[in-house]
Parts: sequence; structure tokens; C-alpha cells
Amino acid sequence: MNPDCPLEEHVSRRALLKGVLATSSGATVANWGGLFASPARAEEVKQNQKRCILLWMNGGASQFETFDMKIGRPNGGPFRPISTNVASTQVCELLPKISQQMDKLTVIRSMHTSQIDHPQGIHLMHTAYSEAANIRFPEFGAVIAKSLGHVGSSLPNFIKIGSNGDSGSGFLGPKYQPFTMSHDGRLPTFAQSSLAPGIESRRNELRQFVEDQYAVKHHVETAKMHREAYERARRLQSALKTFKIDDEWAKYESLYGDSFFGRNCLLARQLVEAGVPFVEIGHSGYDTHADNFTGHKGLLPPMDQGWAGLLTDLHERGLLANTLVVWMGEIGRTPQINNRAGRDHYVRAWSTALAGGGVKGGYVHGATDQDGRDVTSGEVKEGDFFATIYQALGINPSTEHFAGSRPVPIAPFGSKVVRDLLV
Amino acid sequence: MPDYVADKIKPVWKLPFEGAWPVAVSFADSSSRVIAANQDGVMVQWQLPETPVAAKVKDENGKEIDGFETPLPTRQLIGHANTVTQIVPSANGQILFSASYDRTVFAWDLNATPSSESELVVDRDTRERAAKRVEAKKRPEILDAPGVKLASIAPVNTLTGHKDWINALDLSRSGDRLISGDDSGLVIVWDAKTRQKISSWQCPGVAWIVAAALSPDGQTAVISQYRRKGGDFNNYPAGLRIFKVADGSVLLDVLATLYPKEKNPPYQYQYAYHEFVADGLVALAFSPDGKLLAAGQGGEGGGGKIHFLETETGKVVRSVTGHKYGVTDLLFTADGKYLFSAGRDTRFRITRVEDGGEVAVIGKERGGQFTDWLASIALSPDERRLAAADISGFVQVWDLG
Repeated sequence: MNPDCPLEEHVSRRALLKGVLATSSGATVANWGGLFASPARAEEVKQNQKRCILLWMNGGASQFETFDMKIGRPNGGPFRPISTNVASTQVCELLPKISQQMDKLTVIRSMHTSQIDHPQGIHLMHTAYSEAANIRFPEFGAVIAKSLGHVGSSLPNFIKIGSNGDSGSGFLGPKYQPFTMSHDGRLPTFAQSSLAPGIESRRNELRQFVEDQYAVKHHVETAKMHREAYERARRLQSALKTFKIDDEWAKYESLYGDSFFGRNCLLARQLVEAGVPFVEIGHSGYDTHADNFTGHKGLLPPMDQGWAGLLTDLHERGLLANTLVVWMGEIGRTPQINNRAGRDHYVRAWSTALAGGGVKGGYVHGATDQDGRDVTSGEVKEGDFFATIYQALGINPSTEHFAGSRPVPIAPFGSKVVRDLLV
Repeated sequence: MPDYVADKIKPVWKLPFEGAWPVAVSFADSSSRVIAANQDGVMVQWQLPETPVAAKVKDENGKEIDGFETPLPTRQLIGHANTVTQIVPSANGQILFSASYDRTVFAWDLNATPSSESELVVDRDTRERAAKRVEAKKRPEILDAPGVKLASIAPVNTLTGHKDWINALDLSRSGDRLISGDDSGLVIVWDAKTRQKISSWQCPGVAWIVAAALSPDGQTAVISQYRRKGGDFNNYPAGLRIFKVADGSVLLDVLATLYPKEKNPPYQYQYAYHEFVADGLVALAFSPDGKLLAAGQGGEGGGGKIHFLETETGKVVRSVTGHKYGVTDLLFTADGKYLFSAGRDTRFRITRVEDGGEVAVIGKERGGQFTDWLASIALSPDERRLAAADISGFVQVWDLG
């Protein structure tokens, strides 16, 4: 799909015919408007729109305690592998639920990235670029919002639940800035008006009048952006119910697990189903310089259940084929175990995982040596990783946006799409 | 029983046990028989001389100094397939119990006739360092040199029923009951002689059992739970409860007694809770008369406090500080006058129970910014020797004077 041409402007021949047949007069042209608002159209958009959910393991989950175990090696750790629903593929025993979703996953065991500390790594793995003094790179959530989002949607196009990273929309501007919720699912204060609807409406009319008067005399971009932001916040009021999962929770608790992460996964499913193209969920605590093993033993089970529940739910609703679920943190962890029973930062060889839209299931890409110190095959650098994500989502990785007059491709120059893992 | 004086406490041996970290240690029936276990599940026994034999040994910088001949292990206890977390001897020291991440408790007859012979490399790290200093073609000669030949024994009993890592194991001072607890919250009390289950119960919540201790008469048990919260709702990450062994009923919920939530605004509750539990109360010990309980803060965030509590009421008698990072192990002497503690600061400390006074701080910090741990300590039956499992790859043996 051409990212500059939103989905609303396209419709398949089948949907067109459905729309025509649905009108008694057969007046095709007269029915365009009705066609776009029809259930058939809505269902098609729902099924075919590409979306992305990022599960962000803040601090850097250990590849040795998840997808690249080194059993029997001196620093392999105490966990044991378990079989998955894909023959000859094993994962850590801390991922029993995901082990049964392995047929939906592509695991990349051969990440090799360039930023070893958290702030720089978080920036890198949210933007595909290292930090630069003279340019604010947008997070890939903002790029996807721009490419796949709906202008005029009541819902934000880029939502972060449990904020990680502060690059936001970067030079793409405030239009694509993330809508950030707290890790326990609370909305930002601006999202809900404390005023009675009548009062709020009158205030809005007054604000519009003042802004109209101002706009006649001052043609400034910031005023326009402020007005747009205000409008988006007002539109959001009509969609707030999409952020509520309490009514659904009893039904889904056993699937997603009784945790903040599990609830946030259900919320993410609800949001992408409603048309939000990008949702990020943060899960913190993986920076296990001390007590790495008990740390992962505490963190991974609720994450495992939430993630597996999300994949199951997306699959059962027919959404997984067009929803790319990305699992990663900013770094991996060292093969060495330090004298605090911890693993430190490591970026020479670590793991990420993808599932759903555009990628193969039951596939393991790349390999590391016997101690997990170096990539031995299928190296994937950060640029390659993001180029592949964009490609899977139908976005040309060579697409350029402009920071002032400077063209900036969404995946850095020289990045290669890892075609082996794409369907 | 001895009184301890810091100046008279001297190191005797550093028994090499390199490779995976040594994390559990115990004496058996005498001050000459030491057993240690590591994170790979390897268990070995040393037969120490009654009197150390003088010899030149190398210090940590490789310099020759006066010391004692280093005994090599004589026996291997083969069975565990993952980290051994605790080893405790029976009352007469002839039987040893061990608990592991492999979800089993083994009973070992230390006098059993060896069933086979094994070979074990106990100086792997030393070999690897030496190999780095020679040309490549000579490295195999060093790395692949024969290990120590050991007589091997197998466990006489396997105590099954646990569903997750077993971190807690303790024998009552009466010697007839054994308790084990795992990360699923399951507690099992065993008859130490028949090795049959007496009772079992499931602890509340999802927190792991990180320590357990039986009262001297084996009728009550104290269980410490802790878990990184990991996003779970409505579950405190810790618990400290005293249970009736017969039926697993809760006799005292110590944390609920100390920090009744309704009496404190939430932030105060969280703060107090953090101060008391910190990164988990990972070491527990009953005083020999059963009236006091010692509980040590583990991990790295809590400062390694040791709380002394009345077992009847849960009231904190005092809390003592000293270990720079977390406490790893606690032992009362048989007369109840002293408490030995080991920590993540490469030290063991002796505390006078009566007033919490510091009697001795032994060892020095080692390991750099973050120090090596003494993961476990044990007192010999005559309380004249102490053994410590040192994660840098050996078992320290000290003469306590």
C-alpha cells in the first residue's frame, strides 16, 4: 500500500460491488458516501488495515532466559528448555504459553545493534537511528501513525501504554505525537473533561470564536497545530469507551492473566480492532544486573500469558494476519553472569520476536555461537530490523520524510529487509 | 559452648570447588567432614585432617605464604540435575538432605559404600587462567588434564512432590522433622527418619517460598515468601507467617501484625513494608529455645538487616545492620548466645543475641564494585569450625578459636 494514500481512499472491487448491490436504485455514484459508511466497508477496513502492537521489554530481557538458551554451557543459567508446538524448536521454561504459540512467531536470535546503554538503546530501538544533536528522529510508532493512520479519526493513531522512550513524533510534528497512558491503564488528564457537557460545549464555542478571530489576523503554524490538537482531544471524547476494558475483563482474564501487562494486552487488542494502527505496551524491570534469574522468573510469567493471550485473541478474531506484534527491548544481556547473579548489557548478539501480519510463523532466524557471544549467521542490525517491520506492514522502508529540507528515510540508508522471515 | 573472639578466628583452608558457584555447604558428623554443592548440582565431600598440615600456599596474588596443605575432595554425591540450594545434616550427621532447583529433595547416606568412581575438575577457573598464559598448542595439556578421582554415591531416598524450584529446607533441632518449600508456594513437612510426608500446605498468594525454618520441636514452621511483583494484582510480593505443622493453619501472620494496612496510609505502609522485607527475608532461623526468630534481608536493595522477632507475638525485638548487601544465611549456636550470618559482602558476622552486639566481622570485601558472596555457612558439631561456600569457587574453612 502506498503510505501517502490512506486506506479510506481505496476500496476493493468486492466491497464496491457489495455497496452497489446494497442500493436498491443501483446508483453507484450516488452511493459512494453510503458505501464508505456501510458495515461491509467497515468490516473490510477492519480486516485489511495493517496495524502494529509493540511489546516493549524495558531494560532489556535476557535472550538466554527466553529464546536463545545455552544449556550446559558455563553461563547457561538454571532454567531449562521446553518444547514448543513447532518441532525441534525450544524456548525457556518461563514461556509455557508462548511455547504453544510458536507456530505464530518469528524469533530473531541474531540481533546485533549499536547502542549498549538504556537511553541510547531505547532511542535506537524506537527510531532506527542513534541520537543526533541536530535532528529529532520520530519513533516508528509515529511513522506508522503517519503511514497507516486515519486523519480525522476519533482515536489517536499512536498510543503508548506505560511510556518508554521520549522521542515521540520527532520532526514529524505534534500531529503524530503519541497518546500516552500510564502502565495501569489510566488516561492522561487532558483526555477527560471535568466539565458538564453543556458548559464544555459553550467553552469550546468560545475558544473556536477566539481562535477564528486570531487566525484571520495571524497565519501561524503553531496556532493551527494547537487548534488541531484541541479538536483531536474533543473528538476523543466520543471514543473513550474504547479505552475501557472493565466490562470485558471477566471474560478475558483467564486468557490474558491477572496482571497490568495482561490487561494492557487486552486493551491493545481492543484499540487495534477499533482502528488504531500502532499501540505500544511497556513492561519494565528487565535491567537485571543483579538477580537476573529471579528477576526473569518474576517478570516473564505474566508477560508470557499476556503476550500469548494477545496472539490467541487476535488470531481468533481474524486480526492477526494484519497485525504485526513486535516483542523486544532496547538491548540484550551478557553471556557472563556477574557476581551479583546478574547479566549486564549486551548488544553483539541478542533476540527479538515478531508475530502476525507479514511474517512467517514457526520460524527462527539466525544463530549465535555456543555461548551466545557472537552472531554466527543471519545477522540483523537495527536498520535491517526496522526495514523488515516496515516492509511487513506494507510501508516502503525507503520512504523519506523531511526534517526541514533534509530527507530522512524511515529505515537508515543501507538497511536491508530480512526477506527470509517475511511471508 | 565456646565464646568467640574476633582475633582468634583464623582461616585454615580454601578448598577449591571452581566452575559453577558453590552455594550450599554443611558439616556432617564431625568437624572433619564437609560437604558442599554448586549451581550445577554437583555435590562433593572433603575429609579434613583434625590438625592442619603446615605447607607453603599461594595467596590471591600468587605470592607464596605460610598456610596449610589443601585437601582434595574424596567423594561425590551424584544425583541433582540443577542448582542445589540447601544441604542439611541429620541429627547424628550420618544422613544428609539436599534440596534443588530440580524439584527434588535427596537423602544421602554418607557412610554408604560407593557405587562407582567419578572424575571431577575442581580447579577449572585456575586452569583457564593458566591456559591463557601459554601458547595455544599447550592449552589442551592444561585444560584437559585429569581431574580428581572420587568415590561416588547415589541418594538413598528421593523426596518428591514439589512442583517448582526448592529454595527452602530445614531440619528441626529435635532431628525428626524436615521441611521443604518451593516457588509454587508448596510446603511439605517430612518425617526425617522414614522420609514420608507428614503434612503439606499451599501458602497464600503467588510469592515464592524463599526460606523456611522449623521450631526446635518441629511443631511450628515459619515461612518467608517473596517475589518480584511482575505486574500481578492484589498480591503482596512477600509474606512471613508461622504455621502449625499438623494442619498448615496460620498461627501468626507477622507482616499483617507488624503493618496492619488500615492503620497506615498506603504510602507509609509501602515504606514500612519495604524497610522490613526489602528484597525478601531469604534466611530464617529459630533460636534453640524456640522463643526467637532471626530473619535476614536478602538481595541487594535492603542493606542486609537481620530482624530478631518474638515467635509468640511477631514483635520485633531488634534489627541489626552490618552486612553491606543482602544476608544469605543465618545460624544460631546451640546455646542460643550467638547468631552467625553470611552475606553478599564476602563476610560472615557473629552477633551476640542478648543485645545485638557485634562480636566479630570476618573476611573482607572482594569482587570489585559489587562483592563476591558467601552464599552459605555451616558450623561444625563442636562449633569450633565454620565452613563458607564462596561463589568465587572454593569453600572457606575457618578455625573459630
